[in-house]
Amino acid sequence: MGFIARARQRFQQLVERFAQLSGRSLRPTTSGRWIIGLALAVGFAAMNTGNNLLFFGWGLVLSSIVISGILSESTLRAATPTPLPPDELRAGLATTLPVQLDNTQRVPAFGVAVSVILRRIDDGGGADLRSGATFELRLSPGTTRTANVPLLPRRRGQLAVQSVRVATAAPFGFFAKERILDGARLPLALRSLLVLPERVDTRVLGHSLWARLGELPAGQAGTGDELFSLRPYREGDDPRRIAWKRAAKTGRLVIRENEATQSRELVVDLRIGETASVDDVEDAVATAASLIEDLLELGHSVGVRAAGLNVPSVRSPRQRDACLRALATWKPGSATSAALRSSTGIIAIVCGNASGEHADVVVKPIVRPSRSTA
Amino acid sequence: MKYVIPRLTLGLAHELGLMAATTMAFLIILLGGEMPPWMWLTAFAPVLSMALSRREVRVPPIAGTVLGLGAIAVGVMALVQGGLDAAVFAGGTTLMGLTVARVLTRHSLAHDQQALLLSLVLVLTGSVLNVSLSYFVVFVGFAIAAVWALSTRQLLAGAEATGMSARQARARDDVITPLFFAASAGVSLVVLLAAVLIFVSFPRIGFGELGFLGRKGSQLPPSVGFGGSPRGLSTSTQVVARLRGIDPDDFDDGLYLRGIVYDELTFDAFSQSSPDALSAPPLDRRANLPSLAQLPDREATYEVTQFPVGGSLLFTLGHTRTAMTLSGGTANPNRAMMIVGHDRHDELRTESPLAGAFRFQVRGSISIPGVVPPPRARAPVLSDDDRVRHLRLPPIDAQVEQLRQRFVVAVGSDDDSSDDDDVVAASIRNGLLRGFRYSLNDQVVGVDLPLRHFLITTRAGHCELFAGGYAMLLRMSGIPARVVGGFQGGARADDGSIIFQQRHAHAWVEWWKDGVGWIVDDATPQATATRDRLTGIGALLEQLRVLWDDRVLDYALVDQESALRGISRAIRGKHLGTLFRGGVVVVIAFVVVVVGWRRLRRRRSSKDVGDALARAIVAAVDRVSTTPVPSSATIAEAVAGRTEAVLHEAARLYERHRYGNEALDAVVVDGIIAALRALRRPTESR
Repeated sequence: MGFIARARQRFQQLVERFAQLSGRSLRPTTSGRWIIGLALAVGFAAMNTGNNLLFFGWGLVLSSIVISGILSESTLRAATPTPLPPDELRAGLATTLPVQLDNTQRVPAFGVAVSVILRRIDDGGGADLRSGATFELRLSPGTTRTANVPLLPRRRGQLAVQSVRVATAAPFGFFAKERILDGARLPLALRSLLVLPERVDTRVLGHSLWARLGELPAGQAGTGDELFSLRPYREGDDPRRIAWKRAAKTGRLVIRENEATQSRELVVDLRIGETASVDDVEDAVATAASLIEDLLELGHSVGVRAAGLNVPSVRSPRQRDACLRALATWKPGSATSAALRSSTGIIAIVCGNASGEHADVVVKPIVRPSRSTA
Repeated sequence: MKYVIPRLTLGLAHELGLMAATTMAFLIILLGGEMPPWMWLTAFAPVLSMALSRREVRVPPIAGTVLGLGAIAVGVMALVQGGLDAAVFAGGTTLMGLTVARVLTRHSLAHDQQALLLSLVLVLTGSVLNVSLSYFVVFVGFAIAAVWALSTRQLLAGAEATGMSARQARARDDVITPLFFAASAGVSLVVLLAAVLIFVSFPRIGFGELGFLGRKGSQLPPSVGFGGSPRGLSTSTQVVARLRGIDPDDFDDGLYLRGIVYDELTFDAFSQSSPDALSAPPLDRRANLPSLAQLPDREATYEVTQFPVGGSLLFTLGHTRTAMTLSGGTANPNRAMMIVGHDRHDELRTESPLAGAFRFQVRGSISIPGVVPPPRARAPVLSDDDRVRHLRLPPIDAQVEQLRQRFVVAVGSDDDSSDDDDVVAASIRNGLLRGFRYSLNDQVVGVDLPLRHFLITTRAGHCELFAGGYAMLLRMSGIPARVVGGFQGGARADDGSIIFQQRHAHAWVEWWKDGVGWIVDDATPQATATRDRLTGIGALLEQLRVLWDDRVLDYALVDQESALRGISRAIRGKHLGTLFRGGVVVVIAFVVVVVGWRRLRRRRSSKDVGDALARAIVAAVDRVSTTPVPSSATIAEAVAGRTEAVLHEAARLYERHRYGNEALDAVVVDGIIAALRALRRPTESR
């Protein structure tokens, strides 16, 4: 990087730092640059010639710049942003971040755009990501409106909310001014956002796995096909289930009970080989997450296992969240995988040169839609 | 019956603002009068553009390119032909062309912004091309329209940039409300007031390097054809000069404001022989006109404020002993124009064409037409060359000669070679006054030798024909004569000043009498009818013009200095000094009260914020849990067992505030309360 590029980068960092501290940032638009140039040129010409009408025109240009600054500040003060908890965020899925805008001032705010600046936590301080912006043409005094800021997270992981920005170029479009709400001043629950792995279509795969892995006897009466026990008839039992032969022998009405079945305990085992690329890993994670969702929906008890990650297979309404959140922040590493019970069905998702041994089923990762369209 | 006021959509509001702003920008240049008449077509471009835009008709960009290149070509040609002096005219023409091109071919909001910027540049150029009161009026209109157009454009641009379709954004009718009208009008007013403040307070430091940009061309033509449109047809009220210090009796006798002198005379036209004053050095460096007849009983000292309509030519009322610069004349009010002397046509000249109103004082006498004063001791002399020049005649036919002889005989002189020039001149003048009729309708357009046609056939015409005919007959009688173009009569304002406007344009004659000088004479029958008095709107407009000229155009560093001195004196004065000190005390007291009140409010609001937080926590727990929070439960108990992180964070914050006396950050608390309000039972969640 050359000296000029470094100096420019340093300058931009300083400007950004200043903006963060002052809570405001200011940037001239293209027409703003023209206006500044025009103000300089007309000022020079007016001072040079002393032409009073040029001074008048110069006054108009300068006053419009100053008034523009005052009015944009007034607009920004009249639009106070408060982020609200967003819906579930999935990589590759367009969503919105709700931000509440309150106008507690006595003046209306015109033309405010709301955006959110995010930074990936697991990237070790990478570049900021700016969400899309949503625009409010008019915010009357005393009103509250929820602006839905569009966001398309490209990758899973945790995003820190660096700042929430309310911007306006009103009234004249010469300068784009931003009010910066520092992410550190947000409630802890809203300071970071978790992007769950991308969704891939694993419904067909889930059904076929269910057929292959089958079910286990549950050790209790239920609606299975195998005989479990015979018991005396009680009032209310279905007469069609009376074991007539036994009843004839013993002279008592006996009811036939079948053994209930249960789905097997399953673990989706992520096996990442050394030759796997970053995209391959992301495909594997997305496949694992989607498969877990589908299997849980089919009633299976599913967990997830990978190097350094183990979510045991349990039946719980929170199991989906537990698995997906764990996968959202998981990074491939050299740690060994946790041991499994012998009865557990293992679905290995294999990528790179990893092996599929000891697995009941080996699945190849499905390419994510965002990768295939990239 | 209920009347519904139709709502203005954002798109239509923007179109109207843009149309008004660009029209004003064109008008500001066109009203300066420097542009040729066909340029007025440009003023229709914004209306046409709006009509096209409303019908969604798009002019292909190539049309804009062609128009733009054409405008540049016209500008370059003007620059090549007119040199550096034509720079502003060339620039103005080019800019107008480019603006028309942009306005007609705009397809996006970025194009609208460019059109508005070009309009602003046009307005700034107008400050050189138009120095009349109309500049201010149109300038105010432009400021209001531009604020309107820019703010509506910005709203549309913001909406489009964030995904709203252009059609959808333009169709919004909930933005342009009475409040929006009031707000944008207020903004316009504030912008204008701020502009005035900068105008008044910024020190007038003129370096004078770009003065050529302010030069104005002459509206007095160097050649006048008899077949053209007569001066008497002009109804323009554009002020060309304002005279102060004129005696009312002199005004009643009729004033002749002397302008350009024409020494070439034919039956087709009168014109000024070359070289003109600008290319030739002045004949005499003294700022006087000694060769004009001096009327001892009409001596006067008067002040002339002359507007830039005559190039470097100065207007006087006759014989001039001295002319002294007072102020103005250049584009820079801090530097006054210099009077450099008179040229071979007996025209008083400045160093360069006037760029602004020029004030100068004249000591001399006021001419009365036809009055021949007694010979002077130090009589002016007409050189042989000048005598020949002012006696030069085109071929004269017998009928014209017979007319001359009839005039001279009619007054009883049978000797046409009489050296009594007064009698000969009077006889010809009387002949014309009695035998000819003043008419603006009987024009001599399209005929051969129009002046001869006037003298022999129609015997009716306007001032130029009378002046040309009179000078021709004088020359035929051996009296040196010339035609003078200027202004006659004038209008008297309430403050006693005399205003000459374009409608007072006139032509008359000066003839030479040895021992006396050039005598002003006029043979036009209704010449004295143009004196009038300014009343009503005319008087009001004149007062505004005076204000504009004195307080705006001539506002200079010296005015700022005197204003500052005045303020300083007022502050030093006992009474105002006390007021000033009292004002300072009031301001300090105001600041103390405001700061104290804000602190108190912050302290109060901290308690309110804590209570609001507690209420929000309880309400959130009630919402998300199946069992209501007991009224005896503390906040910590209320959230115990809940899994929502924001509830625990809120409770921690509240406990620290309630028991740890920790100040609450209103922004943080607002965020938490909003998050708490968004909490729902798991089954209700989105």
